[in-house]
Amino acid sequence: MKADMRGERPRSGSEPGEPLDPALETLFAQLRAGAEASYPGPGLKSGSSFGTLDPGWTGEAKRRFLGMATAAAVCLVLSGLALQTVALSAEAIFDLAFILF
Amino acid sequence: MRGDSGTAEPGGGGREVIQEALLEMDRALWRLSWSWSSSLEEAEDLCQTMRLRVLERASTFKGRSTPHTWIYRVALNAGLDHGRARKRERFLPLEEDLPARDPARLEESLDLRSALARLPKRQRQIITLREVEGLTYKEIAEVLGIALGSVESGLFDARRKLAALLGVAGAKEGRP
Repeated sequence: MKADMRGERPRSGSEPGEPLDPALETLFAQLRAGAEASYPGPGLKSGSSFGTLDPGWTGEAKRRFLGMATAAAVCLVLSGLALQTVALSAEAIFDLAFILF
Repeated sequence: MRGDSGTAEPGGGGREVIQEALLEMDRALWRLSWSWSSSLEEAEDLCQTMRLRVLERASTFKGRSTPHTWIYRVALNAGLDHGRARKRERFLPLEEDLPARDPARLEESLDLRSALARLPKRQRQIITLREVEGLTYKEIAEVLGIALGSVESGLFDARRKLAALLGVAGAKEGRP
């Protein structure tokens, strides 16, 4: 694809059989000038209705985050259970030792 | 959406390709958004909608077309969806929304955007890609997935309608 599809717009050369009315051409030139003048830059504007949503917060990024959060929660639960098991075991050992000795 | 994906690309690197191309095309998406909006805020929302749609669908890009063609296609469809949702009845922007300095120029630009909004969606896509983005007929046909003849006739009709809506000479008779 040509470079003109990559952001900076070159002026279009007329194609065969394409007479654009000068008045319309002027209006489109003004439209393009308005667009260039108002370009906010890449990324999000704080005033937009999307707030400060990060464009990266979509699809894969979201799945990755949710996966990590789930894994962390599972680890937390498992370590709690493990600690509880260790504590119960220790208590049992102490009880047994108390009975025996 | 309609026909956003392409053929399979080995390695599934479509997402990275699209992300890179999206950065290059951010100004292009802004021009589309600006052309199809009645205010700065609406243009920002629309541009954001386009960016998000492209990112959401990036993993479906398979390399059948160029990334830039694919992004245009997804963005244009997002723009149409956005327009349907907003039901742009009001077309009276606040003065502070307008970026340029010459009120007369802005008024004309706004009139043009208002007229663009009244075009049938296909014609609006075609004339925006041609007159705002400067794409060739062939590129427009690729982006929209239509025949070259449809681009020519759509452009002709769009120009004629715009000229009539704006009251400028240019509503020539006959088709190319």
